[in-house]
Amino acid sequence: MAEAADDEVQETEPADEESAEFVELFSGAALGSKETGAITTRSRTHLVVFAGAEGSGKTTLVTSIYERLSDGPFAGFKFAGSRSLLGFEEICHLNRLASGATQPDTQRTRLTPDTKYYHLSLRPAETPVERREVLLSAMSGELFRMARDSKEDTQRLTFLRRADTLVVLVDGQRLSTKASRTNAQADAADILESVLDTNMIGSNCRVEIAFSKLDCITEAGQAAIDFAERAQTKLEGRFRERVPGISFCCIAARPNTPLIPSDGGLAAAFSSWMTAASPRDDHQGARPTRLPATREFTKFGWRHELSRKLT
Amino acid sequence: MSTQENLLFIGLPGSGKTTFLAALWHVLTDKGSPTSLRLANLSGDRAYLNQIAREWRECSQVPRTNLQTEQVVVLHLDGVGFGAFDLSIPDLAGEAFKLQLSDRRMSHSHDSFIQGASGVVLFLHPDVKKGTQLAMARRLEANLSGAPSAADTPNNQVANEWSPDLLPTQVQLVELLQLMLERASQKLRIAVVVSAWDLVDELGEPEEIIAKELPLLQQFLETNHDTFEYSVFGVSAQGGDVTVAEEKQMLLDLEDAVDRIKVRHQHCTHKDITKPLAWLLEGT
Repeated sequence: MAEAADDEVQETEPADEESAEFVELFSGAALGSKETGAITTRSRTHLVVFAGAEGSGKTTLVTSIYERLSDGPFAGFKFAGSRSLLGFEEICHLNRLASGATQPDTQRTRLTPDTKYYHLSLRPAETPVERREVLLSAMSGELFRMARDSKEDTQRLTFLRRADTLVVLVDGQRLSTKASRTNAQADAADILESVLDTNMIGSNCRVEIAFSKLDCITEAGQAAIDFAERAQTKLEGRFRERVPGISFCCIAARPNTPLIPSDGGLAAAFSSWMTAASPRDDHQGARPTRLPATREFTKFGWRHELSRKLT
Repeated sequence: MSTQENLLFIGLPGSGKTTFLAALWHVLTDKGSPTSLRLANLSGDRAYLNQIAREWRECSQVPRTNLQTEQVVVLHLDGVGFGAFDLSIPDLAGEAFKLQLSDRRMSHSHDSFIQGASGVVLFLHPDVKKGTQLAMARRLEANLSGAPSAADTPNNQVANEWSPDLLPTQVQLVELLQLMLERASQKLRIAVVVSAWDLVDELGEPEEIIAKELPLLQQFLETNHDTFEYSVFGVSAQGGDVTVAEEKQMLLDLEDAVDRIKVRHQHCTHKDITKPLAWLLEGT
């Protein structure tokens, strides 16, 4: 131990003097690819990528995961840190009273040359063993539109090769109106098709198709619910052979009706996204590794309850 | 020759760092009540400590430290199980911590305090800024009879652009800890002090207040045991709201100013304001 100083009180240099030197700190903003190295080189990191058309709810999903953790343990995990807290807070802003807004909203993910990542360090709530490092990435809808339309553009999405989980969103709001529902389904299918055709995801990548904004679907009534179920059947038929472990879920990340539980199915979905998938074998026609026990819409039990309330 | 111990006080502006220091100096110099740590001798320049302690004894609001009045206080202490040692505590301005959050840099002097610290007192005032979610507020409104739904509310105008100034208290505190831990050179002990404890002591234990009001911070504290140990204290250094005339008079009427102090730790209430520091030093 060092020898003590004599004086009771010592003046420190004013912190704002021009001569003062500073230590630069990490930015706390959403991370670029290079900045993720500080995390991925230290620990095994689980990357979850949200893909979907513009406005399908990708960023809202990222904000909702963070907001649930801000309220307490979520999906069996406790918050243990983040290198992008300010980035999370920024994309949550339009859902905060402090924004001065009157309705919850989400800042759209802008098309940028570099993919943005949001970092969470988590520990299992019950058995606080090893921490899990997680990166969440919501790709701009524009980028995925380009990828859907062009094989060359899809091949530029090199970050997808690192994804442990790919969540393709079907926009529930568009699914709830006749004019847009078929395109909503097709957009999601085309995105996944492009990714598979260009071999952009690894064989260990979990693939899940998520019907977002379930509150919009249920509020639109039985016809919309039936269409969503048929959409799931079609998507399953189209991709099951290529992605034997493909799974489906329904989410209301930010339900705006008390008819849907406030959790909105996000905890179960996040828990699934954090689980490593079994390796896929596209060439040998492997059998499904995880078939849904029952149709997701029915599984949530909201359909029948809602139908009663609507009639 | 005494050994040297370095502790660091961190917290946002108005979180009670300087008031704690003022009450601590009064208790150490008064020597009228049993404490875990005792003042071994007086020497050097005590003007700053005497000034803030004088304000405290008069039940005046202890002036906040600003960037120009930052001090490093050195206390010559001893205590059972500790021996004689000199305790160095920089009294840093809360404003400096706010600047770390917004400017993303810290002065080299702050950095060297962190590098040399064996323990940290994190001060937090229980009057926290929450990041209330609009979606949550809307759901609550929708449950009220006759309240308009979100869809009925026109003109979703955003009045305030986002800035780090809008960060909820729990996020600011987690980020402050993360910035500090990034620079720390050893495993630390952190005494989390819920200041102005008299305002919330009827609502539960200090740990319960943090779990309820600052759940993100609570989780962060619980899940980083490989990086630091922590313990939570409720501390009322003033004893009441000295801006309210009746309360101030009641505090001035007390026979012994030390009776204003309450320290809640592990389900027991004490008057010993040195307890958080003693807990930190037990680990060194």
